[in-house]
Amino acid sequence: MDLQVEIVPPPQMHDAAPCNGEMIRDDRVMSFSYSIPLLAFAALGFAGCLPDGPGEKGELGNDRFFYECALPEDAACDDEFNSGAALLDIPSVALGSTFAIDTENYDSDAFSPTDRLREVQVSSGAVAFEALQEGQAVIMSGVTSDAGEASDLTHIVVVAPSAVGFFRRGTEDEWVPLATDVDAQVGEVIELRVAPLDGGGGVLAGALPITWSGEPDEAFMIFDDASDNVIEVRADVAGAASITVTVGELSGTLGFAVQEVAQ
Amino acid sequence: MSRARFALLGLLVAALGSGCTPDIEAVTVTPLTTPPLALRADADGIEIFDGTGVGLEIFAYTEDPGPQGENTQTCEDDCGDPIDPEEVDITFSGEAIDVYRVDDGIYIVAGVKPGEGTLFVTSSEAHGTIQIPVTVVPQSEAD
Repeated sequence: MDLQVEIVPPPQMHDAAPCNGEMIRDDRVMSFSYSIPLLAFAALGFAGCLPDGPGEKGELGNDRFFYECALPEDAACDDEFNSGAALLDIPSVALGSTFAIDTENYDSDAFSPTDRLREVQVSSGAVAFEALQEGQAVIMSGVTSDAGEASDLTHIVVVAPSAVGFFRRGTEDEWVPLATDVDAQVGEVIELRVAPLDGGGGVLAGALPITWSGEPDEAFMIFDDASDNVIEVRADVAGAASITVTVGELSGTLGFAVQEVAQ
Repeated sequence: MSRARFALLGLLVAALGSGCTPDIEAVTVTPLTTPPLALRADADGIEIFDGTGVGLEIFAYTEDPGPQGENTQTCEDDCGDPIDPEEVDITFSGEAIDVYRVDDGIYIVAGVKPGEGTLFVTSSEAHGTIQIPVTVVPQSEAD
């Protein structure tokens, strides 16, 4: 006979995370399904093991850390931002960017004691970090500043972006890097994405202030929020044109060759 | 028994009691994590880069814990029993570091900014304090 056990809300996990079944992060509800023969194993789990699961395991093995996009400009979650999903691994973030880290430990927010990260409050009210210096920065979970206690730690890498990368939505919904000018027809709507890149061309996570502008002004209609890193543009005028994007302190320009629609 | 004899007996008991409380002779410091920019962590001192943190197991001993002498982490199988970690207190000084207790005997030392700090190891079961110097090195000096 199987016994289904539902535990809501999740147990306190200051010292040990349970070996549980399924973890649902978005609504912060954890469900545990044990069969009777597995109860002994489950009891062992509460004694201190951390199961495989989503999120990056902390360096002491007591908690898991999750990267979350704090703002829609973050290139790490272009398609997932609105769903509230968290990334499984902690990516490198851009210098000056804003990002959020969550943990399995519900007693407190993630915390960093160093001068390299600054806690900021984003418009949603969530606590996020601003990356102030290049290099490694420690982030801890379960910190109680009055008692001087913590559960676990991890590190995040902060990188100064070296370039702005442009991408176009591909036929299979993927993002295709754009290395040359874009050929378009008048009236064509193109979905574009911009992201800060590291020296190796990898996309850096973290939200930086973004602005889009077309040249000449009448060449494009820019749809959606022009402060997001993903927008739709419509080419309105035939001829050579360009779109310039600023991403933090960097800027990049994408050229267009717009042709009249053949009759 | 006269009052003077009571006083003398009290002093004798106090002296004997004091003599039964051992001193902290040594500590061992064992890194439990490898910082991304690792330097050094043992009982003679801890060096970490600013902005990084390291998980440490810190035990205190009332007897020399190993053949390599005091204040080292070289003892392995023949270490004496450490003082119950629950009875050991770790405090610190210096703005360059923060120290967080994770569990009995397990701590996180974080390098807040370049500079110096000190860990103080004390116990309710032993006299004395052992100091562990901590140096926080600027990340700009990392290779």
